[in-house]
Amino acid sequence: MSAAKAKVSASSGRRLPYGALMWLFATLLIFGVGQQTVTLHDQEKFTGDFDFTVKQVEGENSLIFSLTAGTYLYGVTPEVILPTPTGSFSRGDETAPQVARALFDTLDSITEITIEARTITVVYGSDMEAEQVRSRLRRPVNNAVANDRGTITAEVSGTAEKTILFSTSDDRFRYAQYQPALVESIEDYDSRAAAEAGSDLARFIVAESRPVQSLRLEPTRLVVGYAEGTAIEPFARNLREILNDFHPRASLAPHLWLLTVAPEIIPPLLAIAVEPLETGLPLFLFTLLMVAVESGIFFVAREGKKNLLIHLVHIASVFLLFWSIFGHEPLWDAILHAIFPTSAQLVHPQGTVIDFTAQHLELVLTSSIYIISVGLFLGVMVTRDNFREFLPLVNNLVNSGQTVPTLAIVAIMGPIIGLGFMPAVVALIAYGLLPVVRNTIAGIESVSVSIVDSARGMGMTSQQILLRTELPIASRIIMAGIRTSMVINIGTATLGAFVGSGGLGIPIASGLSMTVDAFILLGAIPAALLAILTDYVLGRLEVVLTPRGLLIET
Amino acid sequence: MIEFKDVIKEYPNGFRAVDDLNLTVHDGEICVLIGPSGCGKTTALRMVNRLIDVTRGEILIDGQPNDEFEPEVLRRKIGYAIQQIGLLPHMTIRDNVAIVPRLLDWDEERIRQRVDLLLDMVGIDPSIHGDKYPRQLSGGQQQRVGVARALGADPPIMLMDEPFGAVDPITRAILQEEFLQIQQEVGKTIIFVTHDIDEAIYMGDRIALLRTGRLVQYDTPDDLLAMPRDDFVREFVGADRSLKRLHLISVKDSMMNNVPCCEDDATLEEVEACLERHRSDSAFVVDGGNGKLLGWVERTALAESGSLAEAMRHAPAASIAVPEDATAREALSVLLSHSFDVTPVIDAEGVLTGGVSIQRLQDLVEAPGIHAAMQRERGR
Repeated sequence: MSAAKAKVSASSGRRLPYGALMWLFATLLIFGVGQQTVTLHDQEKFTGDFDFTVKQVEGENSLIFSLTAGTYLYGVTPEVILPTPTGSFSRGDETAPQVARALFDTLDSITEITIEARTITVVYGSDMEAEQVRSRLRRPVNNAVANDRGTITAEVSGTAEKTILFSTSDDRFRYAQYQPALVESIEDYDSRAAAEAGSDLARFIVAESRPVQSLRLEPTRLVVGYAEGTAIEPFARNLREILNDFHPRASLAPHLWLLTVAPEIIPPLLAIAVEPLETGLPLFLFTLLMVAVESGIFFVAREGKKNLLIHLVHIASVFLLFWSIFGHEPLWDAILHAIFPTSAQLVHPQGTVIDFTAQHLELVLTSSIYIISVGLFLGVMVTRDNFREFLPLVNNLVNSGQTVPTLAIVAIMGPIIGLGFMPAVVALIAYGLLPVVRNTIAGIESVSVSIVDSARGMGMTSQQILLRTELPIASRIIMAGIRTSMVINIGTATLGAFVGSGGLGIPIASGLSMTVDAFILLGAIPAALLAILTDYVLGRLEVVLTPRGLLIET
Repeated sequence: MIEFKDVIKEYPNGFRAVDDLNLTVHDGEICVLIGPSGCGKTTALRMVNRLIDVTRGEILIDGQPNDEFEPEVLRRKIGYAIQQIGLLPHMTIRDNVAIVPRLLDWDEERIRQRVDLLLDMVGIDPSIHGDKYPRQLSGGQQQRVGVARALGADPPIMLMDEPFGAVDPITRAILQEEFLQIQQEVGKTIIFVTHDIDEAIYMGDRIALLRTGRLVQYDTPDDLLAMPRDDFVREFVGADRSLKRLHLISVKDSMMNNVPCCEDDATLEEVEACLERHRSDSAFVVDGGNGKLLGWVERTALAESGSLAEAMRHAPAASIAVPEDATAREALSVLLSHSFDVTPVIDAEGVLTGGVSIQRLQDLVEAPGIHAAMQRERGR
C-alpha cells in the first residue's frame, strides 16, 4: 500500500504544470499577434460603404471630397451624424428637413413634428383618430428611415395632446444614412512637409499620393491641392481608393469580446503603455493571469481539492479563450484572406462570427436541455421494473430518430411547425436523443445486480436506490452519452440554417449558394472549433462529475 | 427469534422454491441453511427481509409477522451480507458502513463512532482504510467491510448469504474464525446460507438441510453427522462424515490421561516395565523435572542400547504431538502420519498431558450422544 502511495507522489512530482505552460504559450502568441499591424481585406464590408462626391474648385488646383456615406466601424457603433437638423418644426417652416416635409405632405392635420436622434414625434389635429394617423404615417416614416424598418415602434401619447411617438431601440437607427467622420476636428496642412508631420490620415495620404501638395481635413470633407499638370480623373480615383483603404484601418479597434472594458480600466491602473498590444491587450492580460492561476493551482492548491478546482478553471478559461477568438473579427478577416487571397468577400455581411456562434449555441443548448431531460427520463423509466416492457419500444424509437436523415426531419418539420427556431430544435432533439437514452440505459444496467440487491437489502427505497446508487455509478457512462449527443448536435445544428433557425449554418448556406468559399469556412471553422471546445469542456465535466471511487482502476 | 411457519414460495409457473418450511431460529444462534443448488435456501433467506414475498404461510420475527412492517423499515432492522458483497463503489469504506445508520437518521458523531468501532471489530484499520474506496481493498478486506456494513445499525438479526464465498480457502477460514469471535461478542440471531458442508459444520449452531424447497433435517451439526435421517442427508454430508464429526470434537474432550511414558532419567528396566504395563511397543520420554515431552523410545532400540538416553529419539514436541485445543481430526492426522499407537497431547507449555488412540476415536464417533453434550459444554 505504501509502495503504491510512494509511486503516486513520485509521478506527480515529475509532472509538469502543463496548464500554465499552455497559457504561457497562448500569451506569447497573442503578444506576437498584438505586435502586428492588422490590415483588413474584406472589400465589401470595410470599404464599399465609403462614398465621396468630388468637386473641382474653379480656377484653383483643388478638389473637394465630401464623405457622403459609410457604415462600418468594427462592431463599434459610429456616432450618428444626422444629415437632417434636429428640432421641432411646424407646418410651413422654411428650415424643415426633407423628412418632416414629407410627413407634413402626407397628412394635413399634422401640426408639429419633432426630430431627435432616435425619435420622431408627431402632433396632429383633433379631427383624426390616433389609429388612423399611425397607420397613415407608418409607411412614410419607414421610408424616411430606410434601413431599420423592423425596429420602429409607434406609440400614441397618453397625455391630452394628440401625439404619436415613433421610436427605435436600435443603435443603428438613422434617418437616411449617417456619415462617419474622417477626422474629429479640422486639420490644415499647407505643404507636404507639414502633412508628413501631421495626423495618421494626413501622413497616409501624402505617402500614397505624389501629386498632393496641400490638404485640409474636415469631419466629412477633404480638400486637396494638387501639383500643376496633374490628370484630374486618375488622381481623384486614386485618392478615393486611398481614403477607402485608410478609413477602415484608421478605425481599427479590433473588438475582443472578452473584457471589452478592460483597456480603459487596466492600462491606467497598471500604468503601462498599451500601444503595441492594442489589438489584443485584454486577451493578453487574461492569458497572463491564467499562467499565474494555473501555476498557483499546480504548486499551491492541496491535493484533494486540486482536481475539481483545476477542472473548473480549465473549463471556464478555455471557454473564454475560444469565445475571444470567435469575437475577433480582424482575425477571421486575416485567416480567410490568407486562405482565399483573391476573394473580395471575407466576413459575412449579416453578422459577426460571435453573432452566429451565439445563435448556434442557443440552438444547441435549447435542444440539448430537452435531449438531456427527456433522454434521462426515458432511460430511467424503462429501466424501472414497472416499465421495463417498454425498453424495446423506446430503443426502436430513438434508433429510428437517428436513422432518418436530419435534413429530412428538418424538411418534414418545416411544413408542420413552420420555419424558424423551433423546427430545428425539434429535429435536433429527435436526432440527439439516441446517445443519451442508450447510455442512460447502458449505465444503469451496468450497475451490478448484487449492488442493487444489497442496497435494497439494507433498506433503501427505490428512489434512494436510483439516486444514491444507480445514477452515481452510471454517471460516467451517462455523461459520455450527453457528450456524444452534444458534439453531434453542434454539427447537425448547421443544417438549421435551411429552415431559418440561424446559427453557423447561415454563412455555410449563403457561401454555398453565392459560391463564396470564405463564407463556408467562416461557418465551418467556428462550428468545428465549437465542437472541439464542447467535447473538451464536457470531457472535463465528466471527470468532475464522476464519483472518485469509480475513477480508481482495479 | 425467527420462525418460519408453513412458508411456501410458489412462482406463477407453479414452481415451488420453498415448500412448507417450518423452522425456528433461536436468539443468538447461527442457523445454517444448506442444500444443493436450487434447494430454496437463498429464497428462504430473502423472504425474511421481504426481498422475496411469501406466497403462503408467515415468517415471525420475535413473534411478529414480518409483513406487518414496511419492507424498507424491516430491512433496516436486519443486517444483510451477500457473497458478492455489493459494496457501493462510489462511496468510501466509511460511507459504506454508514449506509444503514444514515438511512435511520443517526447523528453524524454517533455514526462516526459506530463505523470506527465496527471496522476495528472486523479487523480493518479505519484510519488507514476508512477513506479508501472499495476497489482499493482486497477481496478479503471487502468481505470484512461487508460484514461490518451488515452490522451497521446493530441489528438483532443478520442474514448472510454465503458471505465468505468469494475468497480463497485460507482467507475464508480466517474470516470464519474471526466471525465466530465477533458473534461471541455480539450474539446476533443469524441465518447463514452456504453450500459448503464444512463451513456449515464449523459455523452453525444448527443446520437446516433443504432439498427442492423442503426441509430434510434440522439438527445440530453433530447430530446431523451422527444421525443422518436418510440417504440424501448421508450422501450430502459426505462419506467422510465421521472425519467431520472429529472436527467438532476437541482433543481435550477425547484424550485419555493414561499413556505409556517415562521420565528421561529412568533406567532401562523401568522403561521395559512401562511398555509391558501398557502393552505397547513405544513410550514417550518426558523431562523428569518439568514434564515436557522430549521424544520417544521404541522397544527394539532398548535391547541394543546401554541407557535410555542412548535409545530414545529426540524430536520437537510440535512435530509429534497435538496441542490440547486442537480438534480430534488433527489428532487423527498425526496418528496416521506417525507409527505410534497413541498421539501424545501437550498443553501450552509443552507438558505431556495425555494421548489420543485410534480406538478412543472410534468409540467417540460411534456414541453420538456424548458429543452433542460436549458441543453444548463448549458453550457455543
